[in-house]
Amino acid sequence: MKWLSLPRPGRSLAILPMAMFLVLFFILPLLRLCLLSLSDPAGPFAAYLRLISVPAYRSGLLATFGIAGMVTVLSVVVSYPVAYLMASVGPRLAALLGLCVLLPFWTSSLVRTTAWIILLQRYGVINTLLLEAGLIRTPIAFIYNLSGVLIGMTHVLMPFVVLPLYGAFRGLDRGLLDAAESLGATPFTLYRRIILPLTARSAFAGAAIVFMSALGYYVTPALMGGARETMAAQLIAFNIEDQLDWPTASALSTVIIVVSLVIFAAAHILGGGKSLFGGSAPSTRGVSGTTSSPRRSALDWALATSAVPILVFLVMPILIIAPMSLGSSPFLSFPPRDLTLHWYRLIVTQSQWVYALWNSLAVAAIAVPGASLLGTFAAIGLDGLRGRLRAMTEILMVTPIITPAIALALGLYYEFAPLRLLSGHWGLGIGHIVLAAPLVFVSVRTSLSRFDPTLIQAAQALGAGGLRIGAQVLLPAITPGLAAGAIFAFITSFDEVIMSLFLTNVRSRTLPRLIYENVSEDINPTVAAVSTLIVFATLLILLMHVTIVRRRS
Amino acid sequence: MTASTRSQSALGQSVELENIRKSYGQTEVLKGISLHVAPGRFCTFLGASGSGKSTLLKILAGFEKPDSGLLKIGGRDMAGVPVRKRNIGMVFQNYALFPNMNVAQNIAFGLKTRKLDKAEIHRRVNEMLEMTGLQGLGTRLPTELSGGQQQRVALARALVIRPDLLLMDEPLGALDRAIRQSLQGQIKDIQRVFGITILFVTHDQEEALHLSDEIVVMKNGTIEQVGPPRTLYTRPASRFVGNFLGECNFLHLDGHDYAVRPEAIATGADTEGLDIHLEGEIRQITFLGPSQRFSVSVGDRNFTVTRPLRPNDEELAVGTRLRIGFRLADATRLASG
Repeated sequence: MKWLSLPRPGRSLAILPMAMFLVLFFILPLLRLCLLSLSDPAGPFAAYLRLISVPAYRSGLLATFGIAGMVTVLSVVVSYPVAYLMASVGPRLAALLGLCVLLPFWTSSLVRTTAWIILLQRYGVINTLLLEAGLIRTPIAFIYNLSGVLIGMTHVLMPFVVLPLYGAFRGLDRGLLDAAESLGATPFTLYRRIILPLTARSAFAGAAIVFMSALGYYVTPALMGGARETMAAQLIAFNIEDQLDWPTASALSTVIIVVSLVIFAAAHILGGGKSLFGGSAPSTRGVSGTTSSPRRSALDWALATSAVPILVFLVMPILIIAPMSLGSSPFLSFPPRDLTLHWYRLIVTQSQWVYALWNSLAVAAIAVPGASLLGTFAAIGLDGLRGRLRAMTEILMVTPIITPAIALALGLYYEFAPLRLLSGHWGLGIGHIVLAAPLVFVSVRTSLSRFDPTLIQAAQALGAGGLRIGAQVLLPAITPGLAAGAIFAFITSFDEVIMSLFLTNVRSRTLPRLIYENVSEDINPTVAAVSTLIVFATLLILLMHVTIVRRRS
Repeated sequence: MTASTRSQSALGQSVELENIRKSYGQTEVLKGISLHVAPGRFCTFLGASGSGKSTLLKILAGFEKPDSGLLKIGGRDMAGVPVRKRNIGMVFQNYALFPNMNVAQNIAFGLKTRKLDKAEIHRRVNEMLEMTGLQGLGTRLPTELSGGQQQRVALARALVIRPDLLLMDEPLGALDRAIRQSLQGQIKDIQRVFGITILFVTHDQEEALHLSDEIVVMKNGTIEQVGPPRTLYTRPASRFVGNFLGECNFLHLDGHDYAVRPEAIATGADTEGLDIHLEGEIRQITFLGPSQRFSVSVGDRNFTVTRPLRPNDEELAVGTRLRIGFRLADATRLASG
């Protein structure tokens, strides 16, 4: 801890472990992948030409961008009412609504997809209800087509827009609306000229994250889409698993990586140089002398009311999964009859679930401490840098978040397979560190941004050495950020499925991979039971997080 | 009065309040406020925080509804008239400039909502920029302006719509002293040019004395006293007003309470021929520059006395005996204990 008392340039050394780790397990594998895309026996650009000339690839890429675009637009549209409602109600109700958004947000996307399939399949919950109510004669095809993909992906991704937008609405100075109204603005003018412009930046930042994430989506289109909704990630997996066509898979990966980076850069520049994951400093709530109790226009009411079905949409899959897991029918019929714990007993007795859970925990046991250490030191070290170098480092540290996981999975698979790292936990553990360390980094940096650096000088002036400063001054300041970051890291590792598909085998497969394999074959009540357990675990972790956040503020 | 005659008239409008009451839950914030402000007057609501002055302003603007009572602006009953149809200019404490619009767009906002044509908007915005000394700053964003400039944009934005009434909520509170004084002058000038009625809220008694034609001193949701600054200062109706505006001595004579300002009390030889004489001991002397202030104890009472400082005056020391006195006509008899 000597470096703590070092001058700034010395302190920046703490960045090195994470930087080196990312170079080794993130940048180099991706560069190898790019080079691989040029190694087609038919010529350096043959793989790329194939993406254009072969109809399956061409339409796959178009579907990828089209679906990503539609999901982005949908997410923004449905996020506005929810964010508005959350920001308009009292603190208690806001906390409840926040839970409605955060619980699905933190619940494994695989669990949510499972729930959607149970809800929407041919004789799923919703079709059964509609049929019994006599509203329809034949079941509606909700899934295995475009609507399935859009429902599933919007559900998973819209919280990325809701959360920043909620912040923007909260930060909106009520005084500005009063001022506009005193100048004669109608409710419509208020929205068009004040509210929308002032929240657009947050919505845009969220939209950029949604679009980038959507580009690399694998699970939802694979499980809820049809053949026409085959997205890039599926094509990549298909090329590796069935065709062993590395150049084409690499070319596809390179395309979605480059598009993601371009969008990230554009969002960065349009956002006024503020990183998408920039400290997330809470927007200062405008203090106006005449802030008055809000008067709601018909437009406000319409917006707030339309949030209700969207909130139902958000929580419905989470709520349906538990009752469905208790039904005795192996076909997940609704409503569940003859309540039973049979499927839960099955989980415990079938060794594959226990093994998968064990594997998941073992991987998390590598990923969480690794990510926490690297991310924390890097966040502290960032303080030692200034200007352009600092900005560049910050961007490098968060790039793994916006890189399509399928590309990273492929890159690491290519490196690790020859090293026989796939049968144990280390291969996936390293991959998860790459994904999770940036989350810890962002979280700890947010804590540090509220830390008064003169405290270190004060401690030094009082004769404290590096170790004492670290333990008694710095550590207490970053503990909340570190704890929250570690929780993010755990959830990320525990839920991650794409890397597990590539970086594990039948012996080392994790829980998400096993769920995925079950769901893609035939959805059964055991999966519902496992999903229910995961929802409860998530709820527990979320409550932990809430208490930490509360203590922080 | 109809809308058309109002907009042609250069004069501001009258304001009438009749028994305005407002409660938030159990707390009664306004306990029956009645007041008449003549057109073109500069009227200041002065009071501590919690006196109800800001709530009153919100009711005038239409942001809050009174529980009962009558509000008329220009003789027109405002009950049920929404904020946006009141034609009121408002300057907010933190200015509330739209951060997504530049200076010219901010000023033009109220003209656009009134659907004026482009040329007219352009003309009036430029006229306003010039009048408030903001020429050349039209394309700046609010964040690129100093506090004083932001304040002037807020003023320009409120005035450009030619309001019947200008409401100002502690508009100078965030500025430092020098800028505040120059802006006070500017606001006075603008009021003279436009002949507009201004209702101004402040807790700064000095500001109230400098600016106002009329001051309304408020306390706990009631009006304590209304009058021109000079009357309020020289003839405070109560201990509260006496203390709130400057310093004041209170004494009991012949069964009545009186208030005497420190500068109305003479010392030493100057007390010859005055109605009231007292003698006490100097406890404290504060040098104020143009004058000095003595704290004089007479028996168990303390008097504050300020005297102009003449270079040749004898320098007095703490502990010295001092004669003080005043004319009964310079003291104000208070209504009640």
